[in-house]
Amino acid sequence: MRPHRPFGMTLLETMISVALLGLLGVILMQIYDVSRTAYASGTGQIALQQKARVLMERISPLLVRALPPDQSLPAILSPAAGDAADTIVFSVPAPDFNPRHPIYSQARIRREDDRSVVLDANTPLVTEDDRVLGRDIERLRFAVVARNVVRVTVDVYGTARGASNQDKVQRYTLDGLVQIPYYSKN
Amino acid sequence: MLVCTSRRRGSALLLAIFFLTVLFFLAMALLELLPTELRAAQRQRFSQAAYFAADAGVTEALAFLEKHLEQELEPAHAFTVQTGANPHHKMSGSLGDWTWSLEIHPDAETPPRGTSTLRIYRITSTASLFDVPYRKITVDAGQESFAKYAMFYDQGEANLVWDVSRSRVEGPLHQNDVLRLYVPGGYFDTEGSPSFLGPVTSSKFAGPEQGDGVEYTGGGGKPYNKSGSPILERYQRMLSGGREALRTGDKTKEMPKNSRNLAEAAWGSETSAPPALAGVYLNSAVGTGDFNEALGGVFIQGDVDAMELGVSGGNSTVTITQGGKKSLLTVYTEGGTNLPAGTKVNGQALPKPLDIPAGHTVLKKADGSYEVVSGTTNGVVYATGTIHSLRGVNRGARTVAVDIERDKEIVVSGDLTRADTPLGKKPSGSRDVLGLVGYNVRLGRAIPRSLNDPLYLYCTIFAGRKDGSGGYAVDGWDERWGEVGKFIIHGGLIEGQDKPWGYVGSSGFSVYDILYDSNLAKSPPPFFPMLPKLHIRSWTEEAQ
Repeated sequence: MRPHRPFGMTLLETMISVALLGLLGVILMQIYDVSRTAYASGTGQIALQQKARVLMERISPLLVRALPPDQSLPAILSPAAGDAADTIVFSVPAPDFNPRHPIYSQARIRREDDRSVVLDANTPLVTEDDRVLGRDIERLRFAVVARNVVRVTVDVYGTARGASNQDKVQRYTLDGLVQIPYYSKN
Repeated sequence: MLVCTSRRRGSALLLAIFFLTVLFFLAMALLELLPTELRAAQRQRFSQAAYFAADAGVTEALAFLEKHLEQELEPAHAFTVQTGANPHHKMSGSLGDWTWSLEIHPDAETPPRGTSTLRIYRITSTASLFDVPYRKITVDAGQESFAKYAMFYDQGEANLVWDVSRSRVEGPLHQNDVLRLYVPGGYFDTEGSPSFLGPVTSSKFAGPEQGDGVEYTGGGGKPYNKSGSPILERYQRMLSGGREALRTGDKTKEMPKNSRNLAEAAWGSETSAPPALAGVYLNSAVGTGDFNEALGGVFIQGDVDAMELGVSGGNSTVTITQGGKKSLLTVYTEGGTNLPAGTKVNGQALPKPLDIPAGHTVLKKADGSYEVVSGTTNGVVYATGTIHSLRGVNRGARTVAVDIERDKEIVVSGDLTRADTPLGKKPSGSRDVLGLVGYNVRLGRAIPRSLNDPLYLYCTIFAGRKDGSGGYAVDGWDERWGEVGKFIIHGGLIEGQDKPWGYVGSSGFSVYDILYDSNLAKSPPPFFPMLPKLHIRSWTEEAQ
């Protein structure tokens, strides 16, 4: 009968295994941290995209209503063709619109200093208070590409908790073209 | 028998658990990302497809209506529901899995509900996927009239050109002919406001193939280079809308061959024939009030020596002289009047004085008798013969027309102004719009002319017909005047044949301004000649 080898590890074995485990733990923590960052960044990016898309989806149906006040003027009154600005002024059917005696009025979408995007009150599209279309919008640009096409660019920023609990700034830009049906149908 | 003697089994398990945890986090992140992305992409795709389906419906509805108008058929005759309180037309179609359904509703004045030749329809098109509605587009479309043009020519003489350095057209310009522009030397190198402030279209091309289809003369060159590419700043110099505002090869806009619809509107009946005896007539039918109701406007059989538009006590008047005898039409809108006992009204002598309240029209005939009808007429004054003299102040929407099929003319003999607009100012409303419709519309010889005291014409002029040589002319060749006259049109000028108006540099009216009145496009004079084309007046999209 062979004698039993004594249970337990030598000090050396213990130290090596602890070191290895420590190293493994550090690596795994790093991987965990990276994956958590990726997750936070991914969800942050989604939130930004959502914000930009929602704003675009609110602006588009307003812009497609643009009609020129008369046939010698453009439907988009400002910015001028070829220019870009953070405010757009366009002509729309006046309140209580009567197609037999049509009167057109102006509407304005603008970005405020508090980073909100609002549709002006007292226009045919909103009669009481300013209607807020989006918040936390860092930059909004309206460019008149052609008389029937407006390029809307929305820049949104956000922060995601990154590696070592550092906040990382995220940016998302959404670019969309809005075609004004008036011109394609007339 | 295999026996594992390793004592490191625990660490493998630990490793596996760690890696699984990491993978779990990554998978969670992906799971979070993927559906959101998918939803966003799908919503975008749905939104686009829904728009295209609903838009297809609108296009189909416009095509349906315009096809009927082009063939001079009443669209209402093809409506799904033609009678009753809510006549309308239903259509449907599909685009892949998507379907659209729409309804066309005429407004209260459009046939079959009304009789206006300015037809207005509301089109509501809904796009659905598997019967679930996703998008609704609501469009108001109105028939276009020739009054939308600041200037219009059916045919132009080949030697007549637009001098871009001297012309200024404030609204839409169209030629069924080739557009001929004269560009003087150095024009493109100078600063200045553009000549054409509205869109410019022509139905014919000029050679060569390259370029924009416009025939350019003069030493100023062309607005495109040798390869035909546009030089955008040159277009900006000519047109305020730049290259996009110029379109050649546009659809031909046919002028009407006759003015029968105006004759019918003036008489107010398609079925009964107007009187053949020379005179001024108001057609009426038995109504609910004390008087017969006006059916149309004013119908004049024969030539008119003179017609003067005026305002009396805020009410609109038209004085018509035929054979030296005067008839006076008064449309009481601001206040009424009364007629003394013994006056002959509607064929009978009044036993006692008669009060006529606002909302009535009174015609004092050449023989001194009166005709009284309820209503304010539709604004059309039509003469089967030539109107040899027309002048005055217009109040209310009015069209003065003659028989263009038989080459009848309107001769303007003085200022034609508006009661709602001070002389010299631009009209701001559409209450007092005036349209003239004749084979020829001429400025008469007897008008005093001067540069400092110009002749004002607050009206839109339609002169000519399809395949005719009628147009606008100035009878101004008279050396005795010794000075050059100026006229100013606040409205538009629509001509069949573009020809010299007068003799430039002589004593005629050789200086002119045509200032566009954009209100005319939206609210043209009543029964003014129409185009078989619908124009979008409002557009709304809603997610369902």
